Formats: sequence, C-alpha cells, structure tokens
Amino acid sequence: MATVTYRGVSRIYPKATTKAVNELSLEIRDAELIVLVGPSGCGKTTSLRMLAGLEPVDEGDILVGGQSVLRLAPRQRDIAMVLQNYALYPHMNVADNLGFALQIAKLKKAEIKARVAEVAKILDLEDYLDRKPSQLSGGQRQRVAMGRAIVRQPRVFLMDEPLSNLDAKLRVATRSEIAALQRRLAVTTVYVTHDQVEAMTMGDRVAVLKDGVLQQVDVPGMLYESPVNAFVAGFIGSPAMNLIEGTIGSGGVTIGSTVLPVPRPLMKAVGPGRVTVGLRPEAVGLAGDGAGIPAVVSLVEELGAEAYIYAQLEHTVRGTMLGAVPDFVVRVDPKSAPRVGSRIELHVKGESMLLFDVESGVRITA
Amino acid sequence: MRPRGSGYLFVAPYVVLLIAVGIYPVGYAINLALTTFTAHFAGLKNFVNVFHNPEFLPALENVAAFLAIWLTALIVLVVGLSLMLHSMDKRISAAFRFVLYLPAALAGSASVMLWLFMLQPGKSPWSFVLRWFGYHSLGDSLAPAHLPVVFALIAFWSGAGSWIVVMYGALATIPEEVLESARLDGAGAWRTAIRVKLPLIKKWIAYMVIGAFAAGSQLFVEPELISEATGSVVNQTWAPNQLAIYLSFRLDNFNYAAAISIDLLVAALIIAAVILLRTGLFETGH
Repeated sequence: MATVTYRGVSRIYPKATTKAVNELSLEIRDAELIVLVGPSGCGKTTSLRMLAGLEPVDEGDILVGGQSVLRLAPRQRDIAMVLQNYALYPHMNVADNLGFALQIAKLKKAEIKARVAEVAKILDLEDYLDRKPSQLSGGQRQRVAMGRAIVRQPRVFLMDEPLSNLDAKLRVATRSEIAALQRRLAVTTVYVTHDQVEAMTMGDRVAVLKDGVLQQVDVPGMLYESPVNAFVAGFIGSPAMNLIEGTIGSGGVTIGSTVLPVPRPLMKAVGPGRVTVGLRPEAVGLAGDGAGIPAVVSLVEELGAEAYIYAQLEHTVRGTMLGAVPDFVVRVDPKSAPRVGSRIELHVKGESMLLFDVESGVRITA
Repeated sequence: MRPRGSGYLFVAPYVVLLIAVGIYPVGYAINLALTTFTAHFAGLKNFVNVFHNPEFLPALENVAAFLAIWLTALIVLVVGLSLMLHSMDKRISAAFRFVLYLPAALAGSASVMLWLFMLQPGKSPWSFVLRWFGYHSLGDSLAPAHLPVVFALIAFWSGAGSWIVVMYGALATIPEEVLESARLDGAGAWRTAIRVKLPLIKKWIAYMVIGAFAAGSQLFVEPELISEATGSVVNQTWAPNQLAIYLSFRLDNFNYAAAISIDLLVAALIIAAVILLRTGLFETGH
C-alpha cells in the first residue's frame, strides 16, 4: 500500500495557451479513496493520467510511497487503472482479460489461475470466465475492468469515470460496491468523476478542481457545509446552491427590494457593498407574511420524501441569479408544494446563509 | 426515401458493374469451358485435356512457388512493418508510409522495366551485388530457378506499400484506451504487438491474403513483359494465365483457356472460403 503525493504538478498540452493542470499539490493518504471532481476540462483526468504515467508531467513531481515515479514507465509504477470505457481486450475472454497482466509478469500458470478465480469470485464473474467482452452486459464489463485492476494487487488504483457508461440504477448500486470493495482491499484509490453525487457518496475526501486548479479538498460534509468559494458552493450539492447577488447594508443584505438578515458575526466581517449570497435549497422555506422574496413557481419536482420548487424571482430581482439554473430552488415538504404558476414568497433561514466576494468568489467568513 | 431503398440505390452501380464485368464473363467462361469449339457440350473434357497439357502443371508449379514466396513475404513483412510503423512517432511513421507507398504509384509495366534494369549486371546500380552472387548476364539473374523469387520481389516492391497503408489503417482502428491498458498491464511494444494488436487486425490480414492470393494466382504482367523483353530467357507459358493467353490467341483454343481460368477461379474461391471460415472475416463485432 502507498501514499500518493502531487507536488506542484503542472501539465500544458502542446499548442495550448493555458495549463490543463496548474500546480496541483495534493497528499493522498494510504488506503484512502479520494475523488477528483469537477466539470469537463477541469484537469481531473489529466491529473490521473499523469499519475498513471500515460501523460507527461511538465512541472512538479509525483510520489508514490514517498518515491518519485516520474522516471518510471507505467508498467513500473505498480498502479492499476480502470478506464471510462473499460478498454477490455475484445479478442480475449474474461479469464484472459483478468490474467493478462499476470501473464506479462510471467507468474506461474497455477498462480494466475488461482488469482483469476479469486477475483472472479469476489466480483461474481465465475460464470462468465469463458465469455468475450462483447457477450457481457455493461455492468459485467465494468466488473471485469475492476477485476483486471484488482488481480494485479497494485499499490494504487486509479479509476477514470468507471460508472459513466452504466444506467442510473446500476450506477447507484455499483458505486457502493466499489466503495465497499476499496475499503475491504484497503488500496489507495484515486477516483475521477464529474458527478458530484458520486464524489460525495464514495470519497473519503473529495478534491474539487476547476480550470486545472485545485479549489478545495476536504471530507464530503465539509465541502457541503463550508465551501471555500462560490464555485465549490455551486458545484457541490444537488440541486445546486442558490447563488444570488445582493447588497450589504446596515440591516442585512438586500436582494431586490427584500432585506434579509445576516448573522451578526458575518455582518462584522463583511463591509458594505455587493456580495454573492449563497443559499442551499433547504435553507429557504415558504413564507406567507409579505416579508419574503416574491417569486413565481415555474417547476415542481416531486421526489416522494421531498419536493423541489424551481421559482423565478419577481421582476425587481430577476436577472441577478448567478448559478447555472436561472431559477431559485427551494426544498419543501411534498404535501405543501405549491402549484406551477402560483405566486409564493421565499423565507430565508439566515443562519444558513453564506456570503462570497463578488469579484473573486472567495467565501467571506466571520 | 426509406433507408432500405436508399441502400439499394447506393449499391446499384456496383451491382451493375459486378454483373457486367464479373458474373457475366464468369458465366461465359464456364460455358466455354464446358463446350467444344463447335459449341457442343464437352463435360469436363477440356479440364482433363488442359491437365494433360505438358505446360500446365509446370505453370501451376511456377505460380505455386511464386505465391508461397510472395504471400509469406507479404504477411510477414507487411504486417511486421505496419506494426513497427504504428509504434513509431506519428510524423516519422507518416513519412515512412509515404516512401513505402511510392512504388505502388508506378504502373505495373514500369515496375517490371525498372527491375529488368536492376537485375542487369553491368547496368544495374547493384551490379557489384549481382556479380558477388556470380551473375554476369541477365540470363544468370533470370535463371528459371530464380524466377519465382524475382517475380515475388517485383510484386512485393510494387504492392507492399498499398497493403501497408491498409494494415496501418486497420491498426488505427484499435482504441487508444486498449493500448494504454496494455501499457498499464506491463506489456512492452513487442508484447503489445503480438498479444493485442496482431489478434485485433486478424481480419484485415485474412482480407489481404484472400486479395493477394487472387491477384497472385493471376500473375501475368511480370512474366509476360520479361518474356517479351528477354526473348527466350523466360518462356511464354511460365504462368497459367500466360498459358491461357497462348492457347486462346496463338492456338485459337478459347475453350482450354476458359478451363484454365475456371481452375484459377475455383482455387481462389476455395482459399477464400477456407480463410473466411477460419477467421470469421464477415462476423460483426468482436
């Protein structure tokens, strides 16, 4: 087993003007499952490929078990990788796919057979050992790809969006299987995904990247509760945090014509002027006293145990929403969900409010 | 227009050409092969007579020797070179492929003339090599025992470049992720070529063998031109196709010539069928 260290690692692709990965520094603990998450083009896959040795490193160093691996070929790094589309050898059956790396390593046939059988048992692939990849379902192929990594007993597992080709139901089932398997095997694992739900549910820690720059790395709960900037706040959480521009005044923060109270310690830390207000869907409720933010319901998503209202703010404040969705999202009890088109007032639970600098996006803390 | 209808429209020009210059002439040849010159049914008599022609079996042996050398060289060298080029830097590989393809741009007759010059001791830039082998005249270079090798050389030189382009295209269809997996699994360039790339281009190799066998069994231009250019050094019935031409246009026996053509066609079809069955060339997916 091993630790993994990215030490100021950068990668700039030929003819590119910006760095795909920009001075990434990250310590990954032994046996930890860390998830790299971010939107397309944020540098998460490049970071993974540099660790695997499939991509050159332009600046910085990568250490596995305290030793630099930059001069080592992929095969010498003792790292196994599960790729997005599995990349199984189409001409080999499942048993040969699982045992290929061991054959290359010139292990004895009996040992290869035993290790393949053991992994097939763990992953419930015993009945499919003679089949070619084309004769397997998506989920079975995914398990073979996992098995191919496990059978090598490497120091580090790398997984590049291994669930992205599965349907939603299988994805949910498989992500918990992978997390459980990783804990059982206790192998340091770097997992890449663009799906923040996957990241939050699987990772011991989650590293959020944007434009090649590491934004924040923390346990899932802290990322949700205490994002360091508006990007992380908006990216982590489903539905996303409501981000809306407001103006700090003596009474609190003014959004349109509505003044919302700001917790006293936070009020002391922020000066007068424009700020970005962050409100989770559960930090907003429905009010009926005329003191809330007026809005019109444009969509209601009923999920059984809860419902989400997507509401357009009234004309006086519309146009200042900063998130990806122009609607304000509110979590409500499905029994009291208003109808589409009805006028509502939004009540903000002030203690849950986050403030961010309008220019830099950095969170303002007390 | 429905997809099925448009599909027929796309293949229609090919089907017309196939019937006009493929199926109909084959039918005509079968008819000729099974009849006498007076247009009476002859059964397999023409085939038996051709078989007993003293020049038929030697011609068949000549082409068999040529095919054995040429097909072996084609499979080993074309596949080997393609695998090597596929492992190289892309720009260097492209330059090599261009250079290797250049001879294919020459007409077949031009290639033969070039090789006649190359094999002529005293005129060839490689005269010292020819003399080192003990060849002092064109007759030495083109001794009967050398001819299968000489024709294989000419055919390989003028045809290998095209097949390398085809084989490289086949290698380019292998997903990059599969090759990266092989790297991560510890396979170096050699093992990746043998264990991963080669099995994945098996169908293209089969296609090359079928095409090359069909073309090689029809060998005509090289022996005919060398025969014309050298007088008596190479005889005019060295290959079965030459014999067919000789029988039809010199002896006016088109029925025997048709029987030879059908023999060659059947041989090519048998080889193609065996390869198709062994390699699953027409199977879809993996």
